[in-house]
Amino acid sequence: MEKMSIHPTLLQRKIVHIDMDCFYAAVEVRDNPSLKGKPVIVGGQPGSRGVVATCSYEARKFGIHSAMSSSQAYKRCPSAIFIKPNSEKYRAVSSQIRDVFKRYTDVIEPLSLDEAFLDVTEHQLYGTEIAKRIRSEVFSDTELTCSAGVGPNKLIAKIASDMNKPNGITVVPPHKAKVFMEHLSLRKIPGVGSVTEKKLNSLGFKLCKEIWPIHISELERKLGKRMAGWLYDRSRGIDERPVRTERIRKSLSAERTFSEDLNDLDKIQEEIRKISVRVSEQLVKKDLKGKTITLKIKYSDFEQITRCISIERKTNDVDELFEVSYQLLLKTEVGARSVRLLGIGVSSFGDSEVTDSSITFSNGVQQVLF
Amino acid sequence: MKFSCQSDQFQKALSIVDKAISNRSSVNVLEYVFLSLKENKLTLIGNDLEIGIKHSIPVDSMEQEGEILVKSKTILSIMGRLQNHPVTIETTENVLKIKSEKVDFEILGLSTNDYPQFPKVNDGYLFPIQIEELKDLIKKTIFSVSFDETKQFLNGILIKNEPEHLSFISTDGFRLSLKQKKCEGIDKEFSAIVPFKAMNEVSKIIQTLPQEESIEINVSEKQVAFFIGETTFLSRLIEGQFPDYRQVMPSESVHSYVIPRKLLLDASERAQIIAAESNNVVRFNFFDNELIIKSNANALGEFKEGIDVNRESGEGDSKIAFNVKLILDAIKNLDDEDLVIKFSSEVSPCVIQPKNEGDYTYIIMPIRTNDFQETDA
Repeated sequence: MEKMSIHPTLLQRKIVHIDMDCFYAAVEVRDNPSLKGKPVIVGGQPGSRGVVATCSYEARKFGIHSAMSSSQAYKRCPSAIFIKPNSEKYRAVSSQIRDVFKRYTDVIEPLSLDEAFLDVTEHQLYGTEIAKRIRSEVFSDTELTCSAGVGPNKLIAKIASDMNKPNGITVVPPHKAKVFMEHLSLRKIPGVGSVTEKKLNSLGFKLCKEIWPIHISELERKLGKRMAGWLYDRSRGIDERPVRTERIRKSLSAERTFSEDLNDLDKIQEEIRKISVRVSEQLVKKDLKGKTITLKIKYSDFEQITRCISIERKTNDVDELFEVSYQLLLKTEVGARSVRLLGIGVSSFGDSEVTDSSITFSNGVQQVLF
Repeated sequence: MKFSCQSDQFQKALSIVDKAISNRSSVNVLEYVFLSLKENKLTLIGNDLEIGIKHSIPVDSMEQEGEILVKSKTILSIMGRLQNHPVTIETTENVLKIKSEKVDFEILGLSTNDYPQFPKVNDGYLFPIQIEELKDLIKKTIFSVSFDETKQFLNGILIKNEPEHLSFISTDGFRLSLKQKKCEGIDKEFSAIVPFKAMNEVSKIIQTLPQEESIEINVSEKQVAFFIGETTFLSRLIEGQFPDYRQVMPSESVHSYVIPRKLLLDASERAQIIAAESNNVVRFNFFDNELIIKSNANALGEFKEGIDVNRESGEGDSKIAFNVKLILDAIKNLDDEDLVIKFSSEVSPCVIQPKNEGDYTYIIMPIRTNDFQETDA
């Protein structure tokens, strides 16, 4: 057998990644059992310009996936049941789930309402055992299933949780990390999107192990310094990012660099809409609304400008984001100058609930002492 | 240093001080535990600059004194996997050798030169307190601590002494817990906000100790120290002005009812099953000798339960709504048979107290609900 060398950082931590299975849809099905076995879509109504937030596995069979426009989803499966998201309810369930996590560790990094990293290094039990218990306790407390990945870092735990989805568990102990990564497609690395994937494919890289024999200096030449160092580590299953417990997001954005500079206003408008959809989808998923909207433009000569505006009420609505961004666009030289990059950012999420002195619910207002 | 001890005893000691050791600190040495061997006693120190814990254990045999810093997490994991066997620990330069039967570990440590000095406790006011009493003071107040980082002064329990009257107070702005205790002999006035983490760890440490024994607390301007047997637990205090609980305490209330605690607890837990789906809002409708508790949630259903109560003062029917979680937090932590609930209106502070124990007060703010408003109109 080939002698395995284990990277030292793989021996220091045990990380669990928990991902609820089709969270929003699962909550809706749980609360209305007549939906069981049916294609359920939580998101915008088909007539609207909304997007799919989550859908049940039955809906996925029709090729429906999150972030797809609801009208597109409707075309693929007209019999699907569309449900408006009830974020209050999802937040309540999410806090129940977090209560389960807290029984095992204080080091919890929620990525969204339905996904979190847990650093369970300090716990006496094996990571596998903790993941098993969490899964069964989440189920008994909420009647919902989740998938778990256990690994020596966030990268491996996250990839692993996706392996036996839904309702499964995948454990990658440190000495198996190398084997685990070996035949993995590079696309599976969180952060490698379709664009990066294409680029890597064009260089002849499809699998993680194909990166291994390449010397870092050669990778740097091919991919640039930052990307090379990142991919060098990630392809080997190395990830030293800590599980961050206090993650207070200040802004959220999405941008796109075009392969060919854009001149046509209609085309630019279309791109602005696409980016708005991406930003809005992320905001909805993370349960955030922002007041300040920023448009970022890089002209073909690499000059970069930003234009921002604060609106009256916080939003995460795709149409509002698009409208505001488009208004901002009209204040630029776009059209006269060609554009290389477009981006939209949302910030000023404002005080979280806890800092509001009184809390307003749909059914009442919590009074305060002082 | 060279000594022998049982791995489980060493592990237990390490896990006590580990509570004050950072996982990933920008200051490298704070991830390390300080070990010092002197006169057949091993002293362990953890210090994250917020909390410092010093703990000593006797060792089976000591051959050579000395001190070293070692990564706390590493040595804790090692001790956890030595199956309670005796271990021999020896340092040469900055290497710590651990031997147990046929197991050999060599761990790189650090010199103790750069380790922050364990704060001295030489001023302030020192007083004893019985473990059972301290546990009760913490248990009945810690759940109301606020985690709102913008209000740091609420992120702990206020410990306050007026002559012969020690109070623990905590609040998150929606409710306030006040537990008092008569203390003869504590004559000095002081007040200090002790961070949640420190209080929580202290309550864990004292959990397993004999209840009738006492510990000592030293409160000074910037820090508090708990002397618990062989453990010294130090914490920085939270600076800031804690709100005056007297100002929010209603002086008198229009309505007052006596309710059996167990019945209220069970009914509230049942109400929560439905209320969980509607922001935990639970409505209390009081009649002369009955309390009707109700909750409902759209698309889920309703709950209703009647409890026999005794009116102590007031007249006519009255209504008030609460976040049932806040109600449960308090009554779960009490063990009295009967509680008194007092309030003046559906939007003013409500007081919950044990009927026969005047030294605990829970003030909870109601939820003003939409349908009550409609009734008013």
